[in-house]
Amino acid sequence: MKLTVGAKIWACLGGVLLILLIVAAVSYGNTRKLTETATWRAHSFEVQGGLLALLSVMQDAETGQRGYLVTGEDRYLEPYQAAVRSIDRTLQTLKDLTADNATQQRNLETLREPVKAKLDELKETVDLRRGQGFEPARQVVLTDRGKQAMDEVRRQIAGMQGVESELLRQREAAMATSSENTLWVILGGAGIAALFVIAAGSFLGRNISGPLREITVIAEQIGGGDLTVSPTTDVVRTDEIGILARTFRTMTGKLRQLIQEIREGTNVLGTAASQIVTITAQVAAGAAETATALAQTSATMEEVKKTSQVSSEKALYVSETAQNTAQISQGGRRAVEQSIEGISKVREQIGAIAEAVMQLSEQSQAIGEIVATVNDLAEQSNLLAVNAAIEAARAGDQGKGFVVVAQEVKSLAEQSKQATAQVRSILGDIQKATATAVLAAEQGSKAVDAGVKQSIEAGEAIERLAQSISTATQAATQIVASNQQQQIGIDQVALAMENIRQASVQNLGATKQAETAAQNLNELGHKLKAMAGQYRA
Amino acid sequence: MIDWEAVHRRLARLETALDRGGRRTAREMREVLHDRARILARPAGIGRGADDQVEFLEFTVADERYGIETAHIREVAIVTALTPVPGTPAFIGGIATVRGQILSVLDIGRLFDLPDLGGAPPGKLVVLEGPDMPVGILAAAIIGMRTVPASEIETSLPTLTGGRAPYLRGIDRTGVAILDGAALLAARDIIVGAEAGQ
Repeated sequence: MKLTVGAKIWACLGGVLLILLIVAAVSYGNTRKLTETATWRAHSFEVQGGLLALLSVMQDAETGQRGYLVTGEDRYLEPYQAAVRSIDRTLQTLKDLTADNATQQRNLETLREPVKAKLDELKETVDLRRGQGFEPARQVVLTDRGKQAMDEVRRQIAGMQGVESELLRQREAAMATSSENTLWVILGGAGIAALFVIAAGSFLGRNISGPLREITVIAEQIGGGDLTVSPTTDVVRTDEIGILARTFRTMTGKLRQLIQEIREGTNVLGTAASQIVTITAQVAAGAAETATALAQTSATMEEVKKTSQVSSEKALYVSETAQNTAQISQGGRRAVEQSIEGISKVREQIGAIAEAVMQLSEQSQAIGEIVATVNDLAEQSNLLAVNAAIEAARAGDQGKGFVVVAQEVKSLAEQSKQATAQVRSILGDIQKATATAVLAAEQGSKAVDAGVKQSIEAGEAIERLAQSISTATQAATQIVASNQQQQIGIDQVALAMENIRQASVQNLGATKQAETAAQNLNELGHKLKAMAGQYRA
Repeated sequence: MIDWEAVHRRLARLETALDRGGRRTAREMREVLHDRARILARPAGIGRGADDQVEFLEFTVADERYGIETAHIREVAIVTALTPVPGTPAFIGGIATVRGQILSVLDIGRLFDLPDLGGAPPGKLVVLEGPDMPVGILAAAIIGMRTVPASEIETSLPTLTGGRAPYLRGIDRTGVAILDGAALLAARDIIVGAEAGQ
């Protein structure tokens, strides 16, 4: 079934409404026809009335004519005159009434001839009575022309009345038929509507109320704690019933899962509550330990405070010592400057010594030149002695004595050479000694330079030392200040320790409350477990 | 620390010594005179009676000692300027002037093919009295006159062979090679321009 429940109900009610509308339409049509037929009946009565009126007028005219003819009195002419005045109007009225009926119109035209003939006969007779008297008029009447015309009129009117009567009879028959039809239509429509309503009620009861009843029963079972049931209604239905069944199935599944989870949760809750009880006991024990530790910490802080005071005194001592040391380092710096000046003088003196030694060396060179000259002289003297010896040898015995002199001269020359050699050797020694002295002076100068450099470094070191001492002094001062702050801080720490102790006591009370709450929680878990146990999942 | 007092004392002592002029003391002078007297007192001309005394002049050439008999020697001199002469053998050192006289100079170091040991340069000249012209021999140093018996001159040594054999008379006990002055002067090789003349 593709239709929703609302659509089905609408369809059933709509069927009933349709039947009622059909019945109403048919009844309306029949009623209208009845009304129309009644109108036409009235119309036929009017036409018959008109015809009787015409006949009456004609009789009035004849009556007036006869009275006049008999009496000759004008006052008997009044009905005649009134009839003559109204005859045309009456005819016109009849013509208007029968405008819808061609037969009656033809009959009416046919009627006009005898009417006119009658009226002409009447007028002739009336005129004759008035002019010639009674007898002429009686002659005219005795011709039976008027009677014949009147009979014709009567016959025509009777024919027309017959036509109208026939029409009236047909219309009454049609009216009766229509009334009967209306009755039958109403009866049949009511019967069909009743049958349709019974069928729709049966269908709706079977199609909607049945499944709803089943779902209601299941809901009652779920309310009673049985979650194992599930609706068997056709779940492929797309209408509200199908949605309701599917939703119910899903709901029962979710409820089963929920109950299962609640059971597991209650188990976890019980375990957790037990653990919380254990933990609160441990926390209480820990709080007691914390109190002990706080007492120890307070004692330690007191010791720290005393130590801080001692360190403050030490820092003051260090500061004073550092100031003394700074003065000493000033003295050391001055001493180093003086030392540098002294060493500079030593360098100048060493330069002077080197200069003097150089002069000595130059003078030694002059001595060497002199000695070389003496050596040349000795050499020439030697050669002279040899030549003298040669001459003496040539002279033979006469030159014997001269040989001795030549020998002596040669000996002197050789002694001179030896002396010059010694002097040259000594000069060499002097030169070496001079070089050694110059080298020593140079090394001395370098040593002095190194000494100056070291003195400058020493001065710088002392300067750095003084700066370091100054820094140390500042540091010691800062240590004193920070020690004071530290003591203040220690007092604050002691205060904070007291606060911590109070908080610890409060913690202990809170732990007791937590233990009670945990026990309540445990009981709650048990209750939940019992409640979840009422449901069979 | 330097003992500056001691330094000053030493300087003063040296100054007084210089003032004295460095002269020898009287005792030293006496010792010198005594030695000289002893030399003079030596008997002159040992073995003068025998005629086989050889008197020669000792000099050094390239660290070797040589001697030439005084009979051939005119004088010794200092070489002032030695002028090389082109076209002469290698042992001709050149020509030189002695007291205005031109003489040819013989380099016996080259003549005897002695190795040049880099000793003192030959600055002395031994002038021989040749038959035609004087001849100079280059010498490093002049040692002096010596007199030895002729019997002490060894003439038959195996080293006296080779290129210098014709110019040697012998070697005495102290190792001095005694040259034959006559042979040197007579040698045709040493006459400069002799070959050109022929």
